[in-house]
Amino acid sequence: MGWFDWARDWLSYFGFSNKSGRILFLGLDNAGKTTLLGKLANDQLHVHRPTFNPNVEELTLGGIRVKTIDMGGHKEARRLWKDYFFKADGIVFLVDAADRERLYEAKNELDLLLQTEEIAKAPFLILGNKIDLPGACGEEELVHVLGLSGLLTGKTTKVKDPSVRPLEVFMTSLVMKMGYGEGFCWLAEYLKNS
Amino acid sequence: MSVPDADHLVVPTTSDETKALVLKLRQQPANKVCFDCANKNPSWCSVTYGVYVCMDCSGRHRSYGVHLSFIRSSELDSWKPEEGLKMFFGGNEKATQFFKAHGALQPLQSRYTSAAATVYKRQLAQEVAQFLQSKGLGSGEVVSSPVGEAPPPVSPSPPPQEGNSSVASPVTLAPVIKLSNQPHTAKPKKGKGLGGVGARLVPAEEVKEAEVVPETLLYDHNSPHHPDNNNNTNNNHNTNNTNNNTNVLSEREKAAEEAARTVRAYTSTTAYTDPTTTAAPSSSAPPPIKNFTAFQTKRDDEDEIFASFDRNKPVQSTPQPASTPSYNNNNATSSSNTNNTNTSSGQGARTGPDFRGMGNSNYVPPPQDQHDDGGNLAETAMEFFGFVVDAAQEAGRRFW
Repeated sequence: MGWFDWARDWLSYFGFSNKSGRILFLGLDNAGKTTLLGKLANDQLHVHRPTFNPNVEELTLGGIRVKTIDMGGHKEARRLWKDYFFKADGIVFLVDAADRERLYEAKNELDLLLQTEEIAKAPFLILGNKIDLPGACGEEELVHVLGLSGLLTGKTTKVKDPSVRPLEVFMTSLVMKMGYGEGFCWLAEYLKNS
Repeated sequence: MSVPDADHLVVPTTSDETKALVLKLRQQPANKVCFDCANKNPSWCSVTYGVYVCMDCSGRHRSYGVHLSFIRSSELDSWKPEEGLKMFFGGNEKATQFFKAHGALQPLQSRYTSAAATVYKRQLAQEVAQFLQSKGLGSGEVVSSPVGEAPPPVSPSPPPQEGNSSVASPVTLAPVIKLSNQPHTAKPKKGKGLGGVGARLVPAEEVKEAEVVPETLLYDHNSPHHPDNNNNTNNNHNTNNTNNNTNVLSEREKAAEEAARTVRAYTSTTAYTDPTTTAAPSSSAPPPIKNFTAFQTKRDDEDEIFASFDRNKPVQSTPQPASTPSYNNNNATSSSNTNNTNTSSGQGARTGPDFRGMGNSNYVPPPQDQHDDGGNLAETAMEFFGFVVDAAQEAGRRFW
């Protein structure tokens, strides 16, 4: 539909189209970023290789067209993250809740992200993934370990104050199809505004 | 071989040094083939078992969860020294030998849920802990750090002072210690038993209980060539009999029974059956093992959890046997899915995810109509119509 695309592009150029946004999937390696993207994009669960290059998918979240970018999570690949902060409307930070030994590493990365100026306004959705695995930590524990105790802005209440960055933790399991629906509904609420 | 043996190993202290060690270990011939498949030059490591695996297999390992296999890249990741040491004491060759000897070289995840794998994993961690302790570096608790604490730093170590080196001496200066300089006594005994397993369990607080790793851990107590095998199994039967009949138990029988119980506790959680014999596990009483935090975390729940749900299936379907991990559903597609991950170019614009079923595992999505060109056309037309209307409204609002 080349013609329609062309027309739509022009319309969106003039600001008539529906909103669009850009979401980054960040997190340590093996947190489930690529799996989450695959799950959202085509509702399939795959075993993925470790991600080297960012994967990009266009999704529709609650009426908003979103470009989701899934970044690699390895130490070397994390250098690329900052190149994608520009115009990021939302951040999804995934944590492997079953990997207790690396929660601190995740916390450090998260702290760096939270301090980054470019994404200071972007809503932060933190997903504690893999709660189906034995030994996964619970929500309170995750919030505590990540040091977010006073920072959460509420799952149902919407922040009006523009100076407050929306931040919330949801526990998910991709294999059990749990949790991320609520998480993205929460995120979509904020994307509508921006 | 460019890789030094354990006596001359320079203990790495930084990520870079560890990485250099891991890269060096990669050059060994046995490590040039993936542990799981036949791919050449694997660059990913399962630290848990100290084996090198290829990229595809690493993806599969990652899906098992870190309690079964912890994957690091020898190129992309930062490494902790203990992890590098695990690769040093592990290696594909040793692991293959061990798994083969215990009949656990079956493919895919069942290999890593088997009892033999569990034992090997623990053994390796123990060996590293023992080694670090002998160097005066670690506290024996290498494999995991409790969540509430900072990750265990390998304390930078001081140069050993000649003639004054006790094992537990706090070391504070030099990062490098050559074992050969150190006349300590707790040197791990190498080369004893299967696969060089001679590491001793030395819990930090109760050294007096420390003993050589019991043979029960090696699972060769049942093998026909074990010298005590027949006697011990007989003893077990006798124990039960005497228990019923006379209530008189000799010390030895008590010990045997205790051992059998302990072994049963180890093996009951996994569906491991020794290929050589099905006799009850027997004697040579193992000391109670207390220090294995990583291994023991949720061991008891594991089977229960695996058995209690079927992933990717409607609830009413027949339950899978507990030993079949449902992650296996994805194994078949592991090689073919790489195309899907990159772009969406093949399918045009996505219609977006279906959120209706989220959070509800019972939800079965309604059959979707084919997204042929007609549907797409109609959809896009409607969309476009919406835009036009919006635009008109907007324009009207602005105009007036």
